[in-house]
Amino acid sequence: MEGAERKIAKVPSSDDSCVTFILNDETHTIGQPLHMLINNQPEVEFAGYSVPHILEKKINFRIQTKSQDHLAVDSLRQGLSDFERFWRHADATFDNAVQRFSNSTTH
Amino acid sequence: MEHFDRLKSRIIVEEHSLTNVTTGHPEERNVLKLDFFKKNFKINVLSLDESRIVFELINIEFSFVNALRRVLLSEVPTMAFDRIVILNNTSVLQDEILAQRIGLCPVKVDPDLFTERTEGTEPSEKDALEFKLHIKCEKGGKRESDRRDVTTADFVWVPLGDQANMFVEGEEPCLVDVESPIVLTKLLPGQEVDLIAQCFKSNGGDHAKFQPVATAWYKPLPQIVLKRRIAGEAARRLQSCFSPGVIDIHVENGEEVARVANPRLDTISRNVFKYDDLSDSVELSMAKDHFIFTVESTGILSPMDLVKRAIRILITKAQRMLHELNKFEDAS
Repeated sequence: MEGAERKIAKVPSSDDSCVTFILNDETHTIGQPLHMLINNQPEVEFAGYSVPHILEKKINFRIQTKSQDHLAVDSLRQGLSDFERFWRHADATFDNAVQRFSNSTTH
Repeated sequence: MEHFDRLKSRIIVEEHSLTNVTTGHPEERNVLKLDFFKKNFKINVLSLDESRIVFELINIEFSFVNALRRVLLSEVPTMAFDRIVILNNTSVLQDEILAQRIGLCPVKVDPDLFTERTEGTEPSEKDALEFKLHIKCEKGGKRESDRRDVTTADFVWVPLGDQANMFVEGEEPCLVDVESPIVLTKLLPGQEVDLIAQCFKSNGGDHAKFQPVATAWYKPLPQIVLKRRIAGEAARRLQSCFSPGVIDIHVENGEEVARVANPRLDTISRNVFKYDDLSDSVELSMAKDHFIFTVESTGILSPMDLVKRAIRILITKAQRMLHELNKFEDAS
């Protein structure tokens, strides 16, 4: 298995639409929301993650897409990108909320 | 239709079970769609002071809320005492116990000013903070007042390298006072503690002493619907089943009648099912996409700052992985 110290490694497979990725140094923190997001994509047949061993901080993330035209890695990329955009929006929303709160209490 | 909508978005809490828990096929979950989220996601701050923030998140998936909580607990870094050189300790506490107590004391300094230390290098101004503690209790006294408590207020900051210029007067690194300085050990006349303590940067996942929150937690928004009129003694009993403030009693035609005042305060204890005559009178449920989130700070960072840093860490996580993916693609 190549790239054991890299952030993202891949279990070798001949089919690019069914891939298991190994996300090093990650836990349920990203696994759970990411798998919910990727499952939500219409081209995705299956997305799931597991922690192969509790003493090792990594997750196996498997994506299977509905057709050979859609690469699993593209679904992963889309999921990560959406995750980032969700949190950017949440960041701005939080700032507004705090602003509104301090405006309403300083009157 | 309203009932159906309510069903879709709420978990029904029954005496022995929870129903309607499965959130439907992920493809149907609106809160996972970016467009829906951007239009409908709301945050309302319910309370805010220097140690705690309570805010509600509406139209968000629970796994995101949980991710925020997990990051607050184990990935937001702080500085904490990690290496203690004990020169003299004649107090009743053993060296290692005293060292462990010191390690757990929060250190009030902005962790962003420091980097994580690499194993094997000498601590420097960029990755360490040093404090000195030297207290000697005067020999000879026999009264209670001749004893001395060693507290976090007795620590003296020792600037390393250029650190003296890094901090504005009055905002130098110090230990957090939790209402009053934390007592570390007590000295009898003649006893002494002399040590040098160094802080390094790490996160809660490494050791709980680095955790910046005196916990952070969330709960789904509870909803309570009274299915019938409950009056008299039963109303008082119903009120006692819930947390104070959830149910209030108002007088109607000379009778005391129960009504739902503030379901947010409820802890979903299901105490109402203790009483056979009240079991069928309420419908308890929890929202699937509306959460009340509380963050309590240990005093190192403000609660708002904590939430912002946690969100930033989540964004950076995704960015790093996207960056890796792109490199990966180029390599293959």
